[in-house]
Amino acid sequence: MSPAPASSFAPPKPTPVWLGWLTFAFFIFTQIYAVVTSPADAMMGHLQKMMYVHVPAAWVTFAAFGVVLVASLFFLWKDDERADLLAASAAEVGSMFCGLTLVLGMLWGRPTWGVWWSWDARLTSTLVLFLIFVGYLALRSFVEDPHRRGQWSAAVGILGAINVPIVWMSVKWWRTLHQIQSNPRGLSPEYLRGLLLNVAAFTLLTVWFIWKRYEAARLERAAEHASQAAALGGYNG
Amino acid sequence: MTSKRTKWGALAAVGILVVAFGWLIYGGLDSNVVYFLQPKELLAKGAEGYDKPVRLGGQVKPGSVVWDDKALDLRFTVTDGTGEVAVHSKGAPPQMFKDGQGVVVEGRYGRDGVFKSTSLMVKHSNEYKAPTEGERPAEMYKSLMKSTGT
Amino acid sequence: MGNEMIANGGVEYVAASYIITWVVLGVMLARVVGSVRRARSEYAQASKGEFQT
Repeated sequence: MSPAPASSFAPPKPTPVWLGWLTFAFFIFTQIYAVVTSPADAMMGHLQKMMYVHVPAAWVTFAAFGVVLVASLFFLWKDDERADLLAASAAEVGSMFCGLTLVLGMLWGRPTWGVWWSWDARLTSTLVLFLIFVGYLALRSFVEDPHRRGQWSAAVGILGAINVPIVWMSVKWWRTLHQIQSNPRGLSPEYLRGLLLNVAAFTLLTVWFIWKRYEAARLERAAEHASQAAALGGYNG
Repeated sequence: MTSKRTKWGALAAVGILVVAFGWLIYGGLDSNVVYFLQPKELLAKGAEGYDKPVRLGGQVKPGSVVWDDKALDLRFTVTDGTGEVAVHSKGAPPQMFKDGQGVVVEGRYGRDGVFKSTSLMVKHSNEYKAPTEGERPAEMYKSLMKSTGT
Repeated sequence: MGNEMIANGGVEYVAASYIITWVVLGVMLARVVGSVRRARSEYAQASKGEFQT
């Protein structure tokens, strides 16, 4: 096995502390702002307010799985372990938001559609997306060799991410219970503002979560490498 | 160093993935491509369409809603602009049910020409509008249920 | 289950979805911060060992 470049095993630069504070302060602001400023919808009443959590959660799910796709392709191309660790971090954060999107969707569906769940193309494909990435995380925890783990999970990550456009287009390609995407013209401006602010806040949350998970993963690898080097006689590579 | 845990775990993970993909292809893309039939499609099936579990989707024909709030009995017509199917449902409809609303009903189309619904779902549009002056969303549902009560 | 009427225009569904969102994000925050802290001390331990040998 050829020695990996030393930089792969160096401890990472810490995630900026200010980013964390900014992210959570902004998130709290946008959540309160959106709920306080939006009037009850003409059709849906206060249930419209579910938009500010369900829609951003769905958006950042797609974004996080997009990061998995890019990082996985980069890993297969350059064989840089850091890309694998980034993909894993994004997959974990994306899975969390995907699960959240499903639960919030059920909570929104019950009072508006009348049912918690229905097997339409949007709901089914979103569940499949979630299960694939749960499988991705399970696979990672069971394969011990880092190189093999990276290759297998890159393959699964790419296959999983291919589902993102399917989920996105499902409401246009097939007849579904789920409505198609809203566009800015179909939204009253007071709703659009709150929605865009919350999408921005959720995006910041996603960036910060992925960055922190990546930092932890890099530190773990650095620690493993350091203890291996120590066991081999204190050679400081 | 393939421990037992690793081997079975990897197998389980691959299993989950295979099931997920199979589901997507056969469950998701096959039966759910045609998630619901429109009235004209159900009617075009003729005798084939009777007494089979099916979903029917369309708009609630304005003026067709008859609601008995004592018996919790609901009758209305689903239309796609071309065909029309009479629907009979039990229980109060979802909050957003009203004239002209998109709906999907699950049930069977009877030989008497009435669709017996076991589940009534509202299909929401993708538009969100703040109410205009004088509209009180919470009151709208109540007034609808009153006006259509018999 | 039939479609019984939803009381109060469904505000409890709105409340539930916000609470669930905040709890999930809070748990994720704790998990993420905890994992970095653990990994950092692990690394400090390991690199200390490296210099001692």
